[in-house]
Amino acid sequence: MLRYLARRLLWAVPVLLTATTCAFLVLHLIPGDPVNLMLSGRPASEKVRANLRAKLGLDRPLAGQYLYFVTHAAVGDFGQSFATGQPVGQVIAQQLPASLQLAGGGFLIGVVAGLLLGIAAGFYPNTTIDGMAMLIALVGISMPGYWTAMLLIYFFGLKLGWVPIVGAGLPVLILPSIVVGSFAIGNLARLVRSSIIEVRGEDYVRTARAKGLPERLVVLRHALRNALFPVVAMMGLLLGLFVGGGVITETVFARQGVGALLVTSILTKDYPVVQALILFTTAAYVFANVLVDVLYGVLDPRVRYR
Amino acid sequence: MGAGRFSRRALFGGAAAAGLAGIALPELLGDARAQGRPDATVTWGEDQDYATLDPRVTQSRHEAQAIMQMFESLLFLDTDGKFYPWLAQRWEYSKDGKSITFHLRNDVKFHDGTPFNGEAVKFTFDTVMDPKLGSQGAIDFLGPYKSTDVIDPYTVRVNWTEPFAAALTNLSNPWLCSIVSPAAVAKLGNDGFARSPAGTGPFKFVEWVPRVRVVMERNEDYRWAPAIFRRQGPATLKRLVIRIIPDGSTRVAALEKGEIDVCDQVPPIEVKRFQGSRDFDVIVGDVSGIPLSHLINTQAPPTDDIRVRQAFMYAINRPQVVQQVFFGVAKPAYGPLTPTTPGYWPGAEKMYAYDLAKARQLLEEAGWTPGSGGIREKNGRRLDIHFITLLEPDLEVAVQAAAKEAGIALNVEKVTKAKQDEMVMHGQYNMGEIRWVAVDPSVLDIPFFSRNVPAPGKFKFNWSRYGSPELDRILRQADALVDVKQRQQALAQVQKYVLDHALMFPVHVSIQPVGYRRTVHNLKFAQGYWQVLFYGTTVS
Repeated sequence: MLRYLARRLLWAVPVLLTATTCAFLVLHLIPGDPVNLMLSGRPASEKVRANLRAKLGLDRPLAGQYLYFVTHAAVGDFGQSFATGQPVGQVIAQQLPASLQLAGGGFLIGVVAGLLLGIAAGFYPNTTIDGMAMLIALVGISMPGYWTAMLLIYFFGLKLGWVPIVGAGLPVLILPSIVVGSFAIGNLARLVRSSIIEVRGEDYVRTARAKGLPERLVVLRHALRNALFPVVAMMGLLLGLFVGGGVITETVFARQGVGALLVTSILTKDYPVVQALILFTTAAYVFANVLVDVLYGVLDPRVRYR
Repeated sequence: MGAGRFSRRALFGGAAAAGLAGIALPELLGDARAQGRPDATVTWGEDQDYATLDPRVTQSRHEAQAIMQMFESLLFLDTDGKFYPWLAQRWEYSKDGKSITFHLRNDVKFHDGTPFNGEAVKFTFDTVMDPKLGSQGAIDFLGPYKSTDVIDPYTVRVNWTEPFAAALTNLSNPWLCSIVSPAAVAKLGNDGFARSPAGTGPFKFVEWVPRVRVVMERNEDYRWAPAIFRRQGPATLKRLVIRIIPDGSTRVAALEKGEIDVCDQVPPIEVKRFQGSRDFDVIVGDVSGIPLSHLINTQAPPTDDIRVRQAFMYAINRPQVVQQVFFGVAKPAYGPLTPTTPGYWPGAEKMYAYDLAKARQLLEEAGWTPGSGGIREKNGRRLDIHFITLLEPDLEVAVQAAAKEAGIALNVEKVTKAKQDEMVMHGQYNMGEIRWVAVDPSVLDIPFFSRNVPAPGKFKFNWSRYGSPELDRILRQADALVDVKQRQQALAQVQKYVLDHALMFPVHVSIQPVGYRRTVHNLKFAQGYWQVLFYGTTVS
């Protein structure tokens, strides 16, 4: 098991290196001058531009910039943000807690609601319960996050006044978590449903019934456990998505977060921040995938790690 | 020579006042403090994120909203176009026009407790010029700055290498040229100061949570407000919070729910609703500077033909388009400067009034005849105008529909800033979109001076790509003339020239609609009509 983990983590190194190198190249290949973008349309003089170029290290040749980046990134130094001059680690650290909170909230709502709906639909297929559950799932998948967010703000924030819109504290996490979670609700519910329907036709479920187990135990002990297999794989992917993918939610709810930070940094070509964030999100995906593989083993004793 | 000598802006006041008609300026009450709650907090909903709070570094009018509550400049230029003493009590120009001597107040303290004096002025301006600081705005505002001599602790002489007509206007800028605490910079370093600034203003820095909020509190020692406020002593508000809320709908919802008290950039459709509401109201700033305009590329076909450019300008019914998009909140613009800008030339309003017949006639003369799909053609080519938009794509769709009436296909391409810059540098467009907030009419140099034509690797703003010695001459004249009447005449010539040659199609005056709860009083626009000053603000 430990050897397996070590090998998996070792494999992460070339993955991370490839991802950051690609990010570096793409960022420098797409047109746009970071200094111009930083000045956001202000008619600054050549003097201003030259000063900024030197300050940001953009006057070095591209190969030199790449070498500098790789050698420094290897020891955890991502340089300073072009926009704020702060160390990149600090810039990301400021945004990360909010992202993790949102990911946690969205994951909780998405997984709990998605599982419940999926189980209900899976055990009563082609009934009204199934129909309702799948309708909710469809809405969750297809409603654009921006629109869901506006509706929630309007009804629960403004009209009913139950939750704060941009205030502070835990309650302010509720609406954004629903928006982020709604996509997962839909996906999980559909996956769990089909998985359960499939499992219920398996021999071992029939055997369990035949030996006289009550239906409740058949479901919990035999069907559900096996049906969760593909679901766990999907949750791993969703976790990675949640951490980096809350851009719209972060913007509409005026929250901190690495998602909006990444988009702003790409648009303004804040190279150091983008490179560090790409590395970070890649790492989040790698980690989530390792976690999923480990969970496989816990759920299914037949899976062995070498 | 005292302050009065330099109130040349007052002479521009006529034009400025004409533009102000219809703006609901909040009243300034003589004894506002007695009426306000002394423990009140006001939260301002801001639409853009901040990167720095150092006035020497910033270029952002959004960051200015926080900066100008905490920092102050040598002199105060109000929206009435007059200069008032501020950190300097009086000032005089040298005979050669290359220096100004400022006599400073001796009773002012920075927020860190150190005294304000001539050394602080010298330190501020000298460090702005230091390449290591990376100044993005102030360095250009100081122009041909040479040095600052500290004559005695409270007298400084600021020197330029050549006569600099915009000096007083620029130094009055309440954010770009405001004075920083040298002790605080020495202690924190430049980057540290940018996140924990210390000035002399009525509010002190407390906290900055990136992408969320900037918190300020009342400076209890404040005793040096400019006379325009007609009150003295500390501000009435105890705390002032800037809350970053990028989305317009969320900002308005937060205002209605009471989570914020004042809100910038209220979407036009909400402005009318607020104006008729019992609990909320809106003040609309008609922003000074260059209106939202199309700069027309005179080098690329088909807009290299002046008849095509003029036809386009006649073809668009600006009052109607602007009414459609802004519901009557913004005014159509006709010239390169907005009416609240000093030196505005009202003659522009009589040029290019909507005249579809004339537009069609000009196109016929240029050889563009009606073709398939209602779009004109010439030698088998459609009349396509490639328009890149970054700022206001919604507006441009309305303009597109209007242009089609004359048989012009306005192809609107929404681009990112990076893409736009690249296309501009390589001349790959017929029209681009600009607007500027500016207080001095010398802003016209930026899009019209021949040295500002963009080229590969050189991003500049003369997007009409029109280099003319004649236009350069009158622009230079307008920049150098100290005599107010003569300068006004030169500026009128510039504006007429730009329109005569159809280099620019002005569309509408930029607006800053500020929504607020009716319990908040005395919101005052700073020069330029973008930011709001909170010194005199009270809450009932």
